[in-house]
Amino acid sequence: MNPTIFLLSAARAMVPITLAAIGEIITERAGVVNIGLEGILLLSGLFSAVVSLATNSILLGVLTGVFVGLAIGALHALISVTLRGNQIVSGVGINTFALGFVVVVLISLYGSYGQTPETPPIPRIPVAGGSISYFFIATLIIGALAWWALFRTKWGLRLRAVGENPTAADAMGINVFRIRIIATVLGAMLTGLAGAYLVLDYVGYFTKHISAGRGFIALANVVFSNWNPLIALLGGFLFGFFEALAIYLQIIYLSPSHQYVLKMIPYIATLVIVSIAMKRVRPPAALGKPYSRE
Amino acid sequence: MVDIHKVYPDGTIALKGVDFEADFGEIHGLLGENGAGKTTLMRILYGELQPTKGEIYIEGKKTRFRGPWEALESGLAMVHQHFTLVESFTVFENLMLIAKKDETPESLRRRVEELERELNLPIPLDATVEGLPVGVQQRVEIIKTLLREARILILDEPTSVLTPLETKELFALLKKLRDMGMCIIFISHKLKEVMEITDRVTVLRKGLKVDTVRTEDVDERTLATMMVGRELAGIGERKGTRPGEALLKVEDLWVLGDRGQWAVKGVSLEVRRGEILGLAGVEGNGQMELIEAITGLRRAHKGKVTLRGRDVTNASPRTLYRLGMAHIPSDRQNVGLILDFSVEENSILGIHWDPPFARRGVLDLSQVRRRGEEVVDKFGVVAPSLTAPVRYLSGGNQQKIIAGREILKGAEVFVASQPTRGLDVASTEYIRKLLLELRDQGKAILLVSTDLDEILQLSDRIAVMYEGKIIGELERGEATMEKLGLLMGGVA
Amino acid sequence: MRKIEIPWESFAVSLISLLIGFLVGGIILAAVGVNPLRAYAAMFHWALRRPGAIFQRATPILLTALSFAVAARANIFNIGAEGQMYLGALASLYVAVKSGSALLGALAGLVAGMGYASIAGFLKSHRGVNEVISTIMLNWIAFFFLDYSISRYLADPSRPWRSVKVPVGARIPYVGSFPLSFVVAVIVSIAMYFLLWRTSLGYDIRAVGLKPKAARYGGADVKKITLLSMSLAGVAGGLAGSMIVQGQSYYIDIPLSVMYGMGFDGIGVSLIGRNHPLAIVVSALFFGVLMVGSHGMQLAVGVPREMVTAVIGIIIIALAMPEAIRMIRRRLR
Repeated sequence: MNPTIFLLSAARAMVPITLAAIGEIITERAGVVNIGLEGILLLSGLFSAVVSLATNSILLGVLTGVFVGLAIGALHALISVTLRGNQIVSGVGINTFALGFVVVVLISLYGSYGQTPETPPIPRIPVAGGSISYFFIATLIIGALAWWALFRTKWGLRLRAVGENPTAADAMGINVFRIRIIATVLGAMLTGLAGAYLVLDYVGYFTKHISAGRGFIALANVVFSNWNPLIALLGGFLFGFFEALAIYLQIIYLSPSHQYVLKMIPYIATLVIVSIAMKRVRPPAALGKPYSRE
Repeated sequence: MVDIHKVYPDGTIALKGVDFEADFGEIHGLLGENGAGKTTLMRILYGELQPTKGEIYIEGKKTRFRGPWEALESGLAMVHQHFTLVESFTVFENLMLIAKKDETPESLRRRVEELERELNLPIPLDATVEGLPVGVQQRVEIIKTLLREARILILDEPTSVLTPLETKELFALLKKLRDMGMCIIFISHKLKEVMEITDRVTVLRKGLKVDTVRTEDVDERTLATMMVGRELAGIGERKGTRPGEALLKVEDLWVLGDRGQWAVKGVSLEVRRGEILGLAGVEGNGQMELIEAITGLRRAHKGKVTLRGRDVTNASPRTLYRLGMAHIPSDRQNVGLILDFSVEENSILGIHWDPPFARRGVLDLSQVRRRGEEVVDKFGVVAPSLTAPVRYLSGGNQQKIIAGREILKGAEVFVASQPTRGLDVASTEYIRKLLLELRDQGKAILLVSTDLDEILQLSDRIAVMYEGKIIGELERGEATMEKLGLLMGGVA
Repeated sequence: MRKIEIPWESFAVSLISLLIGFLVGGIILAAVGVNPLRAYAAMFHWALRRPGAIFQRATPILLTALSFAVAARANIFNIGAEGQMYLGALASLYVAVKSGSALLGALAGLVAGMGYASIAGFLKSHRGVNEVISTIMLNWIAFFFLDYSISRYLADPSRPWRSVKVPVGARIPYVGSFPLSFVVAVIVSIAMYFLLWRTSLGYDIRAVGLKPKAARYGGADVKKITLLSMSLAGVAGGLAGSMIVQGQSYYIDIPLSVMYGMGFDGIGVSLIGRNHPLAIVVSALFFGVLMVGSHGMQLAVGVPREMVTAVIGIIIIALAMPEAIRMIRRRLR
């Protein structure tokens, strides 16, 4: 297998992990944790398939994915910011709900237990030895944009202040609640985009196992990146690399039992990378803590 | 400010009708002990608290701010002891946060540089706040207020975290700002500093204004008397004791504070059998860190602690308890108690591995219950039931549980930190009586308090802590309010 | 023995969350064209006629719920019961097959679960790694590790997609249709209750979970207690696997469908039982009813069993907002 194809495969694998991580970085920089990424990937993926199948429009499918992200993000924001609920429990609930709900929809719409029909073909940019997804380009741009917004604009400054020291931010007249809600919704929208990619581009149909822990790998990528979207691009590539490596090695080693060992690679790599990274990263100081005035 | 009253929701009366007035172009000192109401008064002015009664006039106009942001709009700013800075941000980022809507980074930078020149005050704009010395962080806080065009500036104990050199720099800056026509209100308990920097001083005591005087008309001695203000009230009869051998010894102890600075700088002291050693001082002078190091909650970096003849430097709390130490911590809600645990469970915190409450790690619930009853009965705790979480108990009852628990441990050495803070009169008297009884029984007691009445009422000897050191030690007979006031203000 | 006081407030929050779950679930059912009342009726009707199945279904999720609950008492969000269960099942299967002893098999599962959970415990206490990330990664690693081990070492030669079976002598028997493994799970619940509320260690665990500073003042080593709580959680998680493989399926298939997801179900069970080892017994049985009944619902109205999972998800989401639930409760009064 030549290195170009390998790199292209890593580039394909990195998109969902990276997009979701960038979204989560925005959310967490404002002080809110959303571990419901896995559930958002599933739900947005499913509905992007449903809509694109019904309308035969990829664009509408993508928009649907983003919209589903927006809706779940709004719910999570309501619970964790407005109602000052338990952010982790809410995320678990979202994941659990998604796990069951997608099957209900699959059955009632397609009568299939496992997957949807194939979604319409998606255009890609041909390059030597393969093709590049438009989503890949979009991911790079979004990563750079998110970095610019977080670290080079007044809005980003305020958002980060809210995640670091909401009391001080409040004292300076910043609306802590509004910023947190916006960050949560925006983050979930990017994860919704990731879900749409996963289905419409990466796999080409929806299966109930399509997320395969990517939501959590994205969370790990957030830690790895030290909450920096640019490093998350690198981290995404690293995690994508291990996924591609696992796939590649699975092709070489045909023995089925060895394949299972290879499938562990991305997860072991994640665990090791996070354990090492944890020593030098620094989460937003107010992460996961609901804010209330007195 | 006219006739300001403040009663906190929990019933504490902080201000009982205070008038206060300060002019532009002056530095006005606000002097008083802990709990005199200085900070409360200023937080009311700043809009952080609403007065229970009273009126505020700024430049003759009746005003009441609903919150700090309104105060800031009107050119009034306050710098707290705890800065409102985002520590992981650079200085410039922190300044950007308060910039006006149409302000660009470039124009802000220009404005800051202008201020730097005008005040001859270097600001490391691109350094991260948490890496800066506290003095520079404070300077950033002040610059923030200037960028917002504040004309009235309140500083709450601004020198409590500063080194002497930083203090000098701060004073130079404040004088410059005064000469530019600003009104600066300087909250402090440090006599020397008040003498040095202010033009006028208002002294508060227990929620009332004592007087406002021109600084040049008074000296430290007069101010000290105004601040503590009374002759000793009813010490009461107490048995003379003859202190025995030293049970707790601290030698040249050095302890780091949370910010990585030396909070305790070579403290030595001895507490003997049958005496109460009162450790006085204004809060934040290293008492907390000292006590934590002695009781096993914070590492000591140098020096030695000896408990009943044994070296216990940096021993674990459990070891210390087993060797006969009891600790009544100052933060009863976060350290001394587990609020969601029941009364009886809290009665055995710290001894829950020891017989008779546990045998081989299994709790004997009837013994736990018995101890809970003992604490409640003997110490007059009012609680709905033994299984009720202590969260629902009043502060006085919570403190009685801690005191009762620690006393029933049968320890020889007691470390009591702010044992009556925030308690009602009856509970306060009760806890003080307990400490005296312990002393009469021959225990050694180290009492830390910022309340001078308490120190004078209880102590056989008094040590005063100031900026991490013991600045002076007095025998009971020779202690007067005036001497203590001077020592607490840093005048040795 | 002391009277156990029932915390009505918690009870009400759980109950209202359940109602919200069924309500929203009903809306979804109606949306896919099913009469919700008929669906729910079919569910309960089916389940209540199969008590044995309910106990069987409740057993593993009771144990995984305990895994979550014990850690939660130390303020650790352990979602690794799934992986602990996998490894417990594998170890139990292996030892039960090799030794033919039910006891040794269960012990092996217990130890394996404990050891596996300790990894996440150590990473949290000593390296500061967030337990949500580490336990999820460990779950996936365990998943593929089982696939590997079974296909390579324990496969049934005649049916290579699944393992050899636990010999009859090493199985945990039934009395009629009632599984004795449920008794084991209840004993573990009582043991965990005892541990948490009747021992000094449990005192330290709860103290660390509520107020680490005060726990330290009380003499607890916070790092050690954190690690230990995870290990204890792993005991329950590992046993969940043992009970499945020794008491129900007797083998493990390659995509682990005999137990897949039961670790996650435990989170919901524990949350609804307010992380209390004894209340969890009740909520596990309730979940058992839902899960067994889901078959009946599928047969009667054609809604997939996963509908129940969706309902559970909604219940958990509702449980995340006690403020809102308290508001609803005040209105209801």
